[in-house]
Amino acid sequence: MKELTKAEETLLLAILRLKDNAYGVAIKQQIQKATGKSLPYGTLYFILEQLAKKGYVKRFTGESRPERGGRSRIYYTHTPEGIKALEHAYKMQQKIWNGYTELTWGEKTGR
Amino acid sequence: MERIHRADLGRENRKMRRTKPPKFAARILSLLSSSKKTGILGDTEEEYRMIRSEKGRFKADVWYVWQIFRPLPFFIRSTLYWSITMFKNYSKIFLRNMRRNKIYSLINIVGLAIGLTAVIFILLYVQHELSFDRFHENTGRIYRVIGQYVGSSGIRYSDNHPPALSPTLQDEYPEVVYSARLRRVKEKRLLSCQEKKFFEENIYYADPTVLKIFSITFIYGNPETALGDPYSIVISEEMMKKYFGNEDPIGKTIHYIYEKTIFKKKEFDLRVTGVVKNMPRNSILQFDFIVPFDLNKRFLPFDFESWGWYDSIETYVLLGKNALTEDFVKKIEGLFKSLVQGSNKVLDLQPLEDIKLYGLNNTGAIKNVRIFTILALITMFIASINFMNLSTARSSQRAKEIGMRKIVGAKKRDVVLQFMGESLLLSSISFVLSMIFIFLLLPTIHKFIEEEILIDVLFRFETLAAAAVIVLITGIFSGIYPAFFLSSYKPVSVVKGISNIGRVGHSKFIRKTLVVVQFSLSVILIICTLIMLKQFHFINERNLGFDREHIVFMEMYGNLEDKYEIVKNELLKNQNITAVTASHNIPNTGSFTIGHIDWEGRTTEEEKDIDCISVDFDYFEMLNIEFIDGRSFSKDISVDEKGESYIINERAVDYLGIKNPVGKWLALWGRKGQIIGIVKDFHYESLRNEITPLSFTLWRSFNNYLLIKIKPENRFQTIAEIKRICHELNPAYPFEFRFIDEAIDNQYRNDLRLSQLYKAFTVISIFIACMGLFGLAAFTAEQRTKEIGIRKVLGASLSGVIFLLSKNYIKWVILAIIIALPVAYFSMDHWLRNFAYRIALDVWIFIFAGIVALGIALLTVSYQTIKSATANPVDSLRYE
Repeated sequence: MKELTKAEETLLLAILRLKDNAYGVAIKQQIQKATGKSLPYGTLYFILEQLAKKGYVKRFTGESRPERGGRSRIYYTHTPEGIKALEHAYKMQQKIWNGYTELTWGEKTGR
Repeated sequence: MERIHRADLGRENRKMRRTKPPKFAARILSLLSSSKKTGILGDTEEEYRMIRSEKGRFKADVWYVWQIFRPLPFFIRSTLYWSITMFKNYSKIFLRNMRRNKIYSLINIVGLAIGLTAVIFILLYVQHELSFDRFHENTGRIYRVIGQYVGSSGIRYSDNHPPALSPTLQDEYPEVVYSARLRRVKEKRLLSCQEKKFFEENIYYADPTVLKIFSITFIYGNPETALGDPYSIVISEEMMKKYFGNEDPIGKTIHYIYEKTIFKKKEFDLRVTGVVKNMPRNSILQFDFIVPFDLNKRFLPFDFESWGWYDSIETYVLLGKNALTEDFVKKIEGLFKSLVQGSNKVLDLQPLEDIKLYGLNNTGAIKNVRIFTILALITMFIASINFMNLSTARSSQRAKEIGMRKIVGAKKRDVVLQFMGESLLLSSISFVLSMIFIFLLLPTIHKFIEEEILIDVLFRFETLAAAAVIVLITGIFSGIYPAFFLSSYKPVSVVKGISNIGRVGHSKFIRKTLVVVQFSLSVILIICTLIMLKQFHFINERNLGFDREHIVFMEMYGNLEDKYEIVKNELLKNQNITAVTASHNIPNTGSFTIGHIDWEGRTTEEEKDIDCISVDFDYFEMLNIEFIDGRSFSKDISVDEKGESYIINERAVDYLGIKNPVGKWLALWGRKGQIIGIVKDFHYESLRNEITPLSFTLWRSFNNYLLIKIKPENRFQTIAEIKRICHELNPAYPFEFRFIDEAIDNQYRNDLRLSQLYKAFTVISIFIACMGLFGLAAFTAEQRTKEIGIRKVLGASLSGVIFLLSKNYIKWVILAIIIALPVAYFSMDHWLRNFAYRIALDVWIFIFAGIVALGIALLTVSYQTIKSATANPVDSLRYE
């Protein structure tokens, strides 16, 4: 199993959330909403490519649309492996973060 | 229902078309996002529309453009980063290679630098020669009128015309806008202004129209009227400073003394009417002083309307803008035949800008330009070959590097570029080195070509551009073969260790060919140099038919002519002076030609002319010229004194067809006289020419030169004594003298220079070729270290190993010699035809040259072969 990077993780989650409507503009907006950061399309598509290469997402080409100057939307959807990878990442995350609050409790109070 | 939907869609589409993002930006974006698979373009456009409908067009446009430029800094940074990284790597490898192979690098760089120096120097020289007289406003329409004669020695050209020609051309031919006579004063003249007195050389008599024909810039004075009055003089800026300092000299007078021994001395006060800028160096007309041509009429007792009088008067014409030169030449070519009885002179025109290059009778610079160019190209070629050879030969050393590069991801293109880059870098380093050479050599070069190339020519845009192109071509030419050869390596075989690529068949063949070509060229140069040296030696040693040693001569200025007898007696009192005489001219500097001669027993109607030299008593005795019949001029015979006795040479007897000539009459310029003696033929003129028919007269008023024969002992005291006597009797003039043998040798100066140039280029090219051979030998020896070690272990002798290693080179060089011999033979045979008296092409020269080439080649490789043959086999075999 190939590990997910932080950016891949974020994108894969956005695709999961958008369900059938996961294409460039929507993903970008979703990420902006979730993280407050704007991702350039170049970076976005680069990460999507990586995900597709690892086999965590699949690509569909939609029908051509006038508001895109006659171009098609490219939709992404998750694969079962993608879900597995997310679950794995979530578990890892939990392990890593386990007991964080206790550890920092003293620091927060500034003692 | 469907129709409505379609209409909606149409409307929608139209609306979409109206709200497209800015075209220009969209174009760039589509270029940047190369892959069509990604939806970047579509996504951007979609979002653009969203923003546009929300925030308006302007904001949307700004956003869209921002999408393009946002990734740009990153893009640039990353490209730059990688190219810098690779460049750093390339230059590191380059420097490492240079350091590791100091000898090869030195051979490459120095060899190329020498070649480049030669080429750049030639470039400068050729550019200088080609630039002559192209700056005139009327360039292209200015011509010198020349005449073609068919004489006994073939076709000859002359630029000397009677004074009546120019006005006739001006008045009778509408094509001619202006025509001008120009007469350069051959002797030095004394000019003075108050206490300032100088002998001046560059004095021209000229018609006022010269100022219209040539571009002569006035600083003071009016060009329209400057040469109107015969008693005026136009001077150059330099002369103004010399005579008048920096003040305006208009209206001041310069005292001008005219003297030519045939006529009475005359003096004039000339008024300065103009100051002109110095003529540019690249002009054949170097005016210091321009005096109106009409001043000649005040002292020359000749008919200026005459068509039969010649005194080195040149004629220049400016043709109209629409004049057809060829038609005009057809009109004037027969002018002399129709006007002067018996003349066979055919007129022609020579463009002003061609005079320097072609001259008259093949005297121009073009010959030198051609020879220099060929020599430079040969040198450059030999240097480039070195480069190619050494790079390919050493390629096996770099095979692993290239294999590694390819494995890591370098494409063929990258390797080609890397090696081309290296070769360009090397040629640039060589270029810088050659610039240093040129600066160091410039004074020598100036002395050598006897002309000054201005250093600022070097920094002119054209020169630098040409030099850059040369560097580029050299870099590419010498790098292209190694680059493609090296880049074609198969990485797998290289890394596996099958690295005998340096000895792959076809590369070895090419290398061999290149070495053979290189050595052929060197052998050709060796042979040419040897033959030239031998020919010049032959000329120097050849018996000219008269004694030329220990004779001092000087021009007879001022009193020397009037008081000739007193001077002669005074000089002869000195024991060290054995003879004194006078003559019109010095051997090798020319004679005058007398036309329409007549003689006793004439059998032909054909007009004949003969070259004439006027001499004084004791002339033949001093030069030790042998008589085969008759007697010399004698003081005791009054007919001789009157100038009515003539002496001719053997050629003249044949030429005129007189039997038993002594005692018969001969008429020169209508003056009948007796032929009193026949002298044996001697080389009065250069050895390039055949001996011509000559006549000698005792017309003492024609004599220009005083000849003094001295004893070889106590030369300096004798000359000091001559100086004292001259000062005493001729106090107004400085004492200037020369030796006749020196003056004669001067004639061959251009040939001598050429042979020196050949010598220099031969040495250089042999040197470069040997450097290349040395490098190759070193390389081969290195390659065969193990082989030699094994051979020695198995019992090979030292001489056997040396022979084994040199065998190949001997083969190559012998092949080169075989190729070079016929080429050298034909070119030298051609060159020797320039000389009427020449050496035979000896087989020994060729054999000698071949042996020299072979010897040099063997000597070059011997260092390496002996070194590897004497190496201990233990060292060479142990390292594995």
